[in-house]
Amino acid sequence: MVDQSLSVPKYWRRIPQYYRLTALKCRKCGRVYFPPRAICDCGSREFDEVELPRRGRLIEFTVLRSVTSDFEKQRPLIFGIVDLNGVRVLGQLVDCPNPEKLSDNAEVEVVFRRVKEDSDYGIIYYGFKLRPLKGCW
Amino acid sequence: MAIGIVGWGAYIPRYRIKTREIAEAWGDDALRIRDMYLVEEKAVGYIDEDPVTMAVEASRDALIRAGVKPSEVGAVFAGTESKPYAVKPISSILIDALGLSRQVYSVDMEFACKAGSDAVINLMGLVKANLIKYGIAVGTDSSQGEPGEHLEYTVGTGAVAYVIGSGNLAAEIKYTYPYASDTPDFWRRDGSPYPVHGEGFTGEPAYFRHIIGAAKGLMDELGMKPNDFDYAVFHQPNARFPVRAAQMLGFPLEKVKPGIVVDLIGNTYNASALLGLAKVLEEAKPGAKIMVVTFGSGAGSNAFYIEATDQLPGKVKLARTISEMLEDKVYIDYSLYLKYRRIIKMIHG
Repeated sequence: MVDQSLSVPKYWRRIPQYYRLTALKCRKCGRVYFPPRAICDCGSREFDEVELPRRGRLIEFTVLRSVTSDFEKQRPLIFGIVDLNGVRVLGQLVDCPNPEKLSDNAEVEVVFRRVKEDSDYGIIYYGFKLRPLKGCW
Repeated sequence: MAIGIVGWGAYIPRYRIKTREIAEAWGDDALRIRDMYLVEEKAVGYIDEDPVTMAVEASRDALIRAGVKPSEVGAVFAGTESKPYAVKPISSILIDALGLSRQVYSVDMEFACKAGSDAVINLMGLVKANLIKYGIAVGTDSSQGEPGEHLEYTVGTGAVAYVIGSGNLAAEIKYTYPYASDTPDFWRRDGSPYPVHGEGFTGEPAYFRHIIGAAKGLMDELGMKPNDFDYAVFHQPNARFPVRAAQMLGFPLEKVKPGIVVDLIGNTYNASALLGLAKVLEEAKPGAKIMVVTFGSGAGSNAFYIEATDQLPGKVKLARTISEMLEDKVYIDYSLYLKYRRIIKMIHG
């Protein structure tokens, strides 16, 4: 998920993950890591960059009705875990005004959205979110 | 060298508001408003959507339809009049969001609603000069309409992107023709939250003079007539203007109707006519001849003569279609519209 306590340097370093879901695939055993990590469970340090697919299935989700002040206008916030070709990714679900109609296993797509911004004058942080293709309105 | 559209993509937000809902909120006559503009409803971006996010979505689909690797793209130009940052480009965000290389010509362009089409023409030049293999031209806007003023009934939200190149074409751009002048029809001063119209200039001296001038100039230079075209697509600030422009030029309604989207999503400014073209590409047959005329206040038009190739039909279903996005909608009321478009000044989130 896109970190909610971002600073400009941290955001800049994570742009490949936040913008394009860039993961690392182990050259030895083929396991894919998102977010990336330095050493694979198999012990290898050799990875290739891969982008995760932009469609997947919702595994589980939760609805937050009490949220921090930065996100009051987006209440209720929905967070879910999706399966993107075998890789589980946590993210915010959007364009889902009626979460009671949302169900596990719903098909979702990865979308590019504003995540937060530093006041009216600071930087706008962009990143990925998840959007159900249908069924929650 | 044949140059044209290798792929295209579009993005329309999921939320919609009926113009009737806006009229009722302000005590206007909803039927009169509908009759004036022929706009039933308009697309509204959610609170976390802006011209950057929509440009990314449209460009991703354009690359998929083009079958082009991000590393093959040599330029990305974004046309908009509603940049989230006054100083910080959309085009550089596109470079990293799309995974393009660092060796990319990139710039944001502004000429009211016309810049997206100028991006297309500039990319054609770079391709023709062999400076790039492919370029991405984007038209994206989430523009402003003062609450309670008539612009609020039509200002919509959307984006469109075209991959321009010289091989594997879905449609060849065979000719372009510009028509521009200093015409004070519409502007937004620096720091002003909403644009204003130079009332007497909006129709005849601005929209119609430039649209008709560009369309006639294009046809005169090519020796073509309205009968030679299968489709005509015009900039659409409302649904009346493009229909009237078609009548003035001699195009029958059935040639202009397929490219009209403003009645269902509002005026998407830099995406407007180019979104209409994207909708036409979804139904055009190989060999179809298409005229597109964009318009930007201030004022200017670019006319295009475009011809569909044999490869067009096979590319339509490779990404989200306009037809699908027009159906994918959730209606909101006026209070949610004010919140989503950040029209109410808020301190928190």
